[in-house]
Amino acid sequence: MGDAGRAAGQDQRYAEAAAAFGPALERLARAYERDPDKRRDLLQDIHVALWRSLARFDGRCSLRTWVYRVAHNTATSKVLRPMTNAPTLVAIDDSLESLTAATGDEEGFDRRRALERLHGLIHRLRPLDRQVMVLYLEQMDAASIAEITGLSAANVATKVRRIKQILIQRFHEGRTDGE
Amino acid sequence: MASNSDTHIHLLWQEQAREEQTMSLSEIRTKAGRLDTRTRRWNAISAVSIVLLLILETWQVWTNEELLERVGDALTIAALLYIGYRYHRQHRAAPPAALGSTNGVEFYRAELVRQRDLADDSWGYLLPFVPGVTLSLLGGALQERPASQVLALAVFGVALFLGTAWLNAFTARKRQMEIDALDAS
Repeated sequence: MGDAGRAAGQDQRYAEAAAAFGPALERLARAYERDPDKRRDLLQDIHVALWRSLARFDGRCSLRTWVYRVAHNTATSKVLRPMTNAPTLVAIDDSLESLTAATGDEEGFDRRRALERLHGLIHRLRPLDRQVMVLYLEQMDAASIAEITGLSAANVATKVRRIKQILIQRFHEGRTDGE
Repeated sequence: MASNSDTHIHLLWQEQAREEQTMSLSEIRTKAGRLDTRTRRWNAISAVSIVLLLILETWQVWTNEELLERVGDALTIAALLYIGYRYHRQHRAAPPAALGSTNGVEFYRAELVRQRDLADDSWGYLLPFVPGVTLSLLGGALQERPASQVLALAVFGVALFLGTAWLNAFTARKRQMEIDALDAS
């Protein structure tokens, strides 16, 4: 295949990926950046990285796995930037209290507040735990999460159990109280 | 109960209002080209800065009368060449395909290792300048410059070296702890 054919294939694959995963990539960017301007920059960086990477997509994994890897890896490299003024990140295995304490008291329950609370929780997680959390929220099964993150299936299962425990405590109780 | 909560959270997450920040292919190509230009410009600025410093140091080797200062400047030239070579080797960008073919754990670990090594290696950037700067300072002292001026420069140099080394050692230790935690999980 010539250069023009390869470029057309790259553009075609990118168009497919952007159409299928565009909304998920927006949600992913929100999981990494709170500030709207920085979030827009991150999303653009992810799209550029994705388009570039697809020139070498060899089909050894699914397009979905490839897209999520590029997106999470691009976002992780931003989170890890040495001069980033980031808060101390915690692991999902840390005490439940450490994750819930910073999000405030339960007062009423509405969609916007719940979403803010969810983002607040995600923003405090370490990169790999954040990846697992976001992929879980995208309703991926443990095997897919393991393939994207490289964690063992058992490790993913443990983390997902922990995530569910935290979410149930934080949101189900909050919803019941608010209803 | 758990499954209802699951459904509720998944809906909450997936039904977030969209910001509709789409980019056309031509915008992506333009942005990619702009990023390449910025990288090339930054590399050019770094190269020009090193060349200017080399010219300045060469000029000083030529014009300084004090032998110690001239030797110090020559050693600084050697240090600049060495640092330029190291910088070029260490800052070669990873190919874009690595982002898609590398899973989260591998990428995260590789980033931590890269940042740890960069911080750990700070002496590799600092030490080459020590002989040249020291000799230049000594040469300056012998040229009847005020002792206070030479002392102030020496103190500033030592503080800068030690401060940078401490900060980098702290970063390296922090990254190593994160690597250990990752390996243990």
